[in-house]
Amino acid sequence: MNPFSGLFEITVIGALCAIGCGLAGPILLLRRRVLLGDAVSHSVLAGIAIAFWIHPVVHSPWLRLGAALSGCCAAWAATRLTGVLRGRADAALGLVFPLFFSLGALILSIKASNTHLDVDQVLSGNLECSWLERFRFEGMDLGPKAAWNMLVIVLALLMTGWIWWRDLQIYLFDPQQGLILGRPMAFLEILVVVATTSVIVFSFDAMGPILLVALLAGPGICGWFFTRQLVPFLLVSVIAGLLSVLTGVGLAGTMDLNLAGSIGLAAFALALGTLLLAPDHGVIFRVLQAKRARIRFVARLLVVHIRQHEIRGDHARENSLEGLCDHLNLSEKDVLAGASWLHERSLADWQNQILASTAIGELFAKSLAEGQEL
Amino acid sequence: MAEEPHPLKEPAVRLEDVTVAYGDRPALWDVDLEIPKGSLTAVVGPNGAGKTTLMKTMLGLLKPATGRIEILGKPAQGCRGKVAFVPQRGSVDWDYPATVGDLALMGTHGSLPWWKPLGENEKRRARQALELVDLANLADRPINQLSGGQQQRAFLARALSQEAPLLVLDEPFQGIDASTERAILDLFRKLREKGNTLIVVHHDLHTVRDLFDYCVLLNVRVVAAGPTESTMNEENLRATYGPRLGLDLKRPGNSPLDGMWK
Amino acid sequence: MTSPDGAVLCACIGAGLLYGLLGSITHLRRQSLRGDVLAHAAWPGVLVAFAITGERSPLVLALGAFVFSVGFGLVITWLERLFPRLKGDGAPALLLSGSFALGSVLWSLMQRHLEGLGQAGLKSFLLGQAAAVQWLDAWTLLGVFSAAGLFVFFLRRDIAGILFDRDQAFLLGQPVLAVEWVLDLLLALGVVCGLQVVGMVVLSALLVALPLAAMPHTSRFGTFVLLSTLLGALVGLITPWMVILLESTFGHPGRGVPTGPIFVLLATLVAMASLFGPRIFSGPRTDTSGIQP
Repeated sequence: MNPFSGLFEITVIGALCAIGCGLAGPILLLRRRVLLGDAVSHSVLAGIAIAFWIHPVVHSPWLRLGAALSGCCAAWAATRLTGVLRGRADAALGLVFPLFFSLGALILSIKASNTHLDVDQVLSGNLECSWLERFRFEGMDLGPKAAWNMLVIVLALLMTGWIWWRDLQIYLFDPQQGLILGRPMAFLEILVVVATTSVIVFSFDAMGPILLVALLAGPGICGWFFTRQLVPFLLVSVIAGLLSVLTGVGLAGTMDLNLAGSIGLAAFALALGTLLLAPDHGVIFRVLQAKRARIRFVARLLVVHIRQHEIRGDHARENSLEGLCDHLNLSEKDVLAGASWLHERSLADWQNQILASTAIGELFAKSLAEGQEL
Repeated sequence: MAEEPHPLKEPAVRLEDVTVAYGDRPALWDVDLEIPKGSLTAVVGPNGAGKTTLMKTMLGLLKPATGRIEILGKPAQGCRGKVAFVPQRGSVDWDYPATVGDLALMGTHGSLPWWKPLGENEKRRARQALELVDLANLADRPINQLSGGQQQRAFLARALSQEAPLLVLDEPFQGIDASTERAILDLFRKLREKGNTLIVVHHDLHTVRDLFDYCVLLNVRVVAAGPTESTMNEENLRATYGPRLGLDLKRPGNSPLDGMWK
Repeated sequence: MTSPDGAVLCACIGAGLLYGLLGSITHLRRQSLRGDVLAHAAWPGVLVAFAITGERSPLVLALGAFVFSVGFGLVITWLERLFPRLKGDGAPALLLSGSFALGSVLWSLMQRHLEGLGQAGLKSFLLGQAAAVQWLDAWTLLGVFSAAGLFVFFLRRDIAGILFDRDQAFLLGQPVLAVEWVLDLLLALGVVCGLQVVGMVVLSALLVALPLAAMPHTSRFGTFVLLSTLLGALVGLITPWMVILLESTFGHPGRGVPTGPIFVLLATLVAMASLFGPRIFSGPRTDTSGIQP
């Protein structure tokens, strides 16, 4: 790739966005506020529309200011409403952000019907053209403005996280405990909102609300299900975000697709893949584990059960296949699977169609019956 | 105290070789249990012992991995309407739009098909249930304005309006003031006299002997079950709760309800 | 000032009725975001239907939207059951952005072959456009409302029980799974029918705002649902008039004011008035602390 072609710079901007979102996403997911990103980014439209109404210039900094104020207003309104609604954050968000968005869309449709601020563009962002606006200093072209914006944001996020690292960990794990310990939990809450709003406002040209949420939620989910500690969580999220951007740019470039959509789709696919394949929690893992666990239970129950009857002396009648199926209310398949589990471990064997325990099996059954090992 | 239930009567609840597991972890293991009809039974055990799981399995809300369950002589699935359940208060969102009267009436909903409107019979049952728990004067009160004790009594009213012979209650005395506790116990005694069976997950070991004639000690497996007098001994308790129990059951006058029953 | 077109008026009232009804139930099921996911899922659905059949008849497109809505609805139910840590926030966020991304990609893929679904079509799909609303939309909305209304009326006891305490409903022998299935289907159907009128982006806001408007006034289930429905009809009635008022005041012939945002603004106004104003039926609340339980 020619380092000065648009594609390279788009990728850099996208990568920086991915890093920013990869850092913010996990925090939001842990505190169950990912949709705050969606809400704030929908609601900045109101600020942009009002700013545009007052000062109708398409790329002015007033728009960004309006966006930031509007985002913060919406976040504040949503929090207050959640309180009034006794904790129903879903309803509060579901009301506040479409409200602001509607206000913005309405104003734009009246006041700005002839300009480039079109609704679907607002939703998808405009990453393709984001590299066009340059950062010029003393006549030198230092690259796209959007890239520098995002770089500043990423560095600010890293620095903030570093400074408040310990409090951040408490906030994420147990904010009530934090309050008791006297740590400034309310401040951290505000910090998180401000950080999210900044990421949105600074990347608004490049990413629309949808792409933003895709890069916050998708890579965040990848990180969450593959790691068990905060630092790896953040790391994996960032990597997943970068992968999404690279895949998206590649797809969009080769197949001439919408860029934001491709990146979002890549993030979505990665997240779905994680949910399927992750160790411990993934769907495939769970299905396999459920099967194994069930066979193990049935086997243990079987060995205890056959021992009981062997001690009582009626094992000839009770420990046959039908007897076991009937008494334990299990299917033949289950009993046979359990029996072969026992056979593999030399704990019991079929002898003349009766399941009989071995010497080791007797000891095993005894320890199970005494509650030593389940 | 009431006489011990006759051992040859058909049990209200029978579990045979029941195992219930959540994924890899057994919540109930190899449970064999018979609870006699007409008894007031306590189910006790430490946290995570599977008490709520046992209740839910009895009610048919959870399917066991192995074993059989019989409620009042029939398999659990076929007992809809014959068993009433009083869950923990936190299992429901009390911000729901309903009055105390609506809640009491809910217990009667299962007995009518959807095309029949609620009739005098259902309204009478709900009214009587509210009177039994002393909430009749609050019938129009919205449920989001109830105190903890009132919520518990409202849940009870819902169960009572069902007029079911078997009642299962999950920690009904948790976080209740003393007067409500006395009132509910009085009600239990009345119900038992009428021939109902009550199974109660109880959190306070000190009061089990005073209130319940039958008890089940549970810790994933049934450690012991039987009449309270003989079953609640130190050995069984230690096996259920572990070696460090620190509980002194021999001292009389330990329970706030001493003297109430005798 | 001219009167609104009959079809638009009826469609808006129908949408208001339907979303008031469905919204109240969805609110009690604590699934306020589900409507959003279903609405966003409609976009790739419409595109796939067009791509497969090449037809742009409203029935075919609506069918595509419906299939995708139901599909995504199932996915969100499974995700929340299998992954409790994604409940409430993570699952909707993932599906919202995912479905929209899918739609964007399909849209760009199909740009070359698109003659019918142009830019204007997209805008009316996203935010609702009075000019695009026809009698078919009005009839389907009113029809779905009638069906949903009858269902909720006849099974009101079961629905009330299931929404309040699901376990207890099982115990009482109420048909929990069947009722929940029908409610899910009705929601998907309702979402698809209202897309032309209200638009995809803000549709879910109506499902949230209308029950919130009804909530402070009553503490009975029946009154709650009824009030939410009626307030929806009221807002639906006013919306087309507002649209015309704004269009004539700010004068943009040919570039109409979108109906969706107006609908939402009015509904939110009513909700705010209810939440922070006087209470009509239930009297003042004794516990207005608003502290989280």
